[in-house]
Amino acid sequence: MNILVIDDDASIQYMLSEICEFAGWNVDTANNGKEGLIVFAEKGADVVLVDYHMPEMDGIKTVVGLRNLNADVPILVLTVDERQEIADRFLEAGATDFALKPVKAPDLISRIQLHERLAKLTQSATQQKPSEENDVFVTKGISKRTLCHVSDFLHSNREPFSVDTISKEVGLAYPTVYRYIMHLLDEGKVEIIVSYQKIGRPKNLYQWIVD
Amino acid sequence: MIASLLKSWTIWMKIGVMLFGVFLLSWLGPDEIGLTDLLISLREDEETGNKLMLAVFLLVSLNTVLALFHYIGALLLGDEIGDRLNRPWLKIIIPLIVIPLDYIVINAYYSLTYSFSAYALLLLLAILLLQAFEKDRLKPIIKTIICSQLIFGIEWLNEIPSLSQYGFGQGSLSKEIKDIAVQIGFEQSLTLYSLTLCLIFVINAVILAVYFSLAEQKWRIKQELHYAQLEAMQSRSGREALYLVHDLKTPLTAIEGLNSLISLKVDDSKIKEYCQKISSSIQSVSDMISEILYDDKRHWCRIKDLVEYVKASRLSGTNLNLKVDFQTDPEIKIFINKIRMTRALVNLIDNAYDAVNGMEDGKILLKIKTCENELWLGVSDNGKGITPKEQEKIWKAGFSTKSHPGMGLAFVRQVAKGHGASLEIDSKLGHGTIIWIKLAERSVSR
Repeated sequence: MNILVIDDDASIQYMLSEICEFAGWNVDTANNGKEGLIVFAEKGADVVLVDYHMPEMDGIKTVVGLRNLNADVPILVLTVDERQEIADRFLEAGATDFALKPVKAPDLISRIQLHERLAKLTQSATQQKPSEENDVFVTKGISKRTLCHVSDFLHSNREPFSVDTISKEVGLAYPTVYRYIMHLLDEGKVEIIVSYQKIGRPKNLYQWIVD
Repeated sequence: MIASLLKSWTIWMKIGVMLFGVFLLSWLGPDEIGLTDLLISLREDEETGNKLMLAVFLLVSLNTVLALFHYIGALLLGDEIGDRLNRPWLKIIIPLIVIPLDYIVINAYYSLTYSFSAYALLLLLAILLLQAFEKDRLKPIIKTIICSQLIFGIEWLNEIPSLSQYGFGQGSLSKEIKDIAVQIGFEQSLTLYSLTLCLIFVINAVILAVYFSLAEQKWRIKQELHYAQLEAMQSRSGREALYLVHDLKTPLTAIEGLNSLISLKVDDSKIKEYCQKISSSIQSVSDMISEILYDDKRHWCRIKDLVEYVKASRLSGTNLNLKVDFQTDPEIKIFINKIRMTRALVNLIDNAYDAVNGMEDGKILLKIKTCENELWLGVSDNGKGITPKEQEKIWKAGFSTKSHPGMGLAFVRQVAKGHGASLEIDSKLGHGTIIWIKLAERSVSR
């Protein structure tokens, strides 16, 4: 598998390359978004890792650029920024998932593996029926394979879960899961169950509506 | 609210000023200032206008002094009550009711007719106009000066003979003086004299009012600008610090990544253990950075840990000793941003040390107690205390009793607000101060 690492910090580039090589993958690196797009256009990649704060072209612009080149490639954003609005903007731009820095090697490896598996699943699905649906989802910041992944989990476990739990169970970042749950809520596939706890604010749980 | 109004000495002082004005009449009347004698000699001696002019001047001055107290008293009383109850219309209504009431009381007590006449109406109107125009911008002392000029000016209208038919100067003394003036053919001179003085003082009062309220307004704008600049400075230096802190996560990421990779690559159990330790240290540094960067980041934290952390932040590198008074279980957990809460407490502790600076028996105490499911964190000192007037101001950015720009308590307030906690200051002059941060029930877990 080929991984493209786009990060302006040399020590992080080195660290990510070492981890990917340890997992047995090939790594290409780029120092910023501009370079990253050129490398991706030339060599392509199976998964792209993108940093947020970069000179020349920041993470969000890079994600938009990558999506213009390829609608399906999993794009994993690595950021130190924990603000929900940043996560939203990334998903809007078409990012697939997040990891907050600092990230541990085993976590990162399993995350990349998950996205690789998801990418393969949808590839075979879209090859059977190449529909326009995919593009529509992508432009709204909702990708079909991630949506399937989240809804499959809720569909097969008919209990109410918090976004936190779902995020842990499916291996996607909290903001990613939150956004897909909101999408499913809009679609009327999922309902909110409010759980009152002993301490703290009441928590929203989400459950697949039995059809 | 009303009860607290009744307790306020400033209100009673103003009522006192009004009552003083009423009783002043018994000590300071026409006899006492020689006006009566002057009038008698004026009537008997068939003298010229010299004595008449003197008599008029004395009468107007006397009336001004007598009127000033209850007008000013009523005006300032209206101001104060209006401010305290936050109902600006009271500032007009109260003088409007109290001043005529004063006249009724005076007339009930004294035989001297002290009439609420056209002049009084005009004066009341002028003062109310002043009140409406100045919109709280004038200090009481300036207001008193302007009012006294206005009263002195308008009083002269009472002494103009031709205005008598419109209800001016119906008091016995005024009537008498005007009669004499007519008798000795001084009618026109008196009119001119009175009118000139009236105009001079009224115009002067208006100019003063405009000048002082503009000056006051300018001063306020300057003051607000100063606060705005301080706040801008604070937020800029804050932002700079945030960027720096933010950049700390990048090297941390490289360390964590490689560290976790080492533990994947080696089989040595000791090395794996080291990696584990390094990793948990990285995690705690990373958490701290998050708490500094995002003030809405909260964790459950034992009070014991918070206190230890405060001690470490405050005392490392110094030989100062901070006493902690646990009046509750130190194992209780609170839901806080540990870094920010620590900085807030350290700020309070630093202030407390400043308060006892130079005292031999200075004592600083960090108090922790529970009160009806709330958790109270307090810092006390036995310094000289803070006056109630200062207490109102201390939370504002820019206020300081020291030479540096006061940011500390503004920060404490910001942290408390962010945690939904309330602040209470309890200070006795000469005994010391305690400032409480009261964490609400929902942030406390037993």
